[in-house]
Amino acid sequence: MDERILRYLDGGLTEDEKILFEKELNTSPELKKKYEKYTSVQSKLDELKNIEVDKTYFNGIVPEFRNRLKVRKKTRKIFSLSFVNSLAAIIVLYFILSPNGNNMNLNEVVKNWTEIDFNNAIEYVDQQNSGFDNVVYYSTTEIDSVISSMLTDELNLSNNSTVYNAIDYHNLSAQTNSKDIKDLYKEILNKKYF
Amino acid sequence: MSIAEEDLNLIEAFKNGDETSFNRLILKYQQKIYWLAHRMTGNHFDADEVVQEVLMVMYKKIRGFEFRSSLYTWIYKITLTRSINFINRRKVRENFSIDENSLINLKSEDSITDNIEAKEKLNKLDKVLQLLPVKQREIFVLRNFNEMSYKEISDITGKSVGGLKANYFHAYKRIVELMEEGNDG
Repeated sequence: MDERILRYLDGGLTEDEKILFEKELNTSPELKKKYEKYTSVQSKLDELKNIEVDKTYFNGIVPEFRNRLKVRKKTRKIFSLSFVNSLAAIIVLYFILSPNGNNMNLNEVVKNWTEIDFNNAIEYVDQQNSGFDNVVYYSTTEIDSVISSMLTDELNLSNNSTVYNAIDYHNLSAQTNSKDIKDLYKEILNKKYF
Repeated sequence: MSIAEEDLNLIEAFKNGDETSFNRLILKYQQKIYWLAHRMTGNHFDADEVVQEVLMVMYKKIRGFEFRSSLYTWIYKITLTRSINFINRRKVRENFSIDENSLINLKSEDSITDNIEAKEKLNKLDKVLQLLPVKQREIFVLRNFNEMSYKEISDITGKSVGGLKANYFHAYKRIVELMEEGNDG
């Protein structure tokens, strides 16, 4: 019974079926009661299609977007430089710490490093660079986008394949913990550059 | 001028460096994006975040848009994808969030309308929609609120028309049950 009502409301009955249904609606109190249950809900849903909204919110969407775009462009520059600095820090420390120069595997050098060691290395290189005094917080979206573009390069994924797969490469930071992300990042750096 | 021609002109102007054309596209589609995001995520706060994410994706990718589908189909696809991603991220955050209660309270206070009666009805609907599985919610919203044809929904979601109809009917039936329970309780 419910399905016929739904198909009728959805415009899914043929003309003959519609005529039959409407006839039955007039003669069957049970069908009529059920039908009215559906139409009552539908009219509540229809009311919500036209509610009075706060126009100031919609007026603010474009300015908010432009503001975020500005921040994003600035953030990208800072993040790229931080990435290069981190790399430079690792290379510099590799040569400083390695007693036998090129014979030491970088993996061996950094495998026992803690987060503090990495931060110290980056800070060391940052201090050499006077052009970037502003610290900018980069959003999860930005971190996701850099990690995902590195991953898609590594794994030869097209951007489209990230949408409905079980693993959402564009939103890794929400699905993995920060230790795994650091490990992943180190792994990719190592593979890509060493 | 048809909607498609208007969209094409705006996109061409944007490709040629006219940033205000992109702003005009936002103004044209922002309500559709917002309401789809709101009905999927269940509250104004999260919908607002999704809207901004969708606009960012559009801004990055619209230069490569080739009009194989209509612009609004493309925009809806992006909105649904970002909404579903947001919902998944939210589940992870809620599981590990220290201050979960205050976050939930903040979200329920924020609203798109100041009208108290409308706010209550909207909150009720939001709660009911959140009780549907995401895929049923998606189809129900596109069909019932956006009044899209099954063919259009199939283009957006990639699902068969038969499957969509079945899901829509399940969703509708469930919504009616839930709204009835809400009235009794």
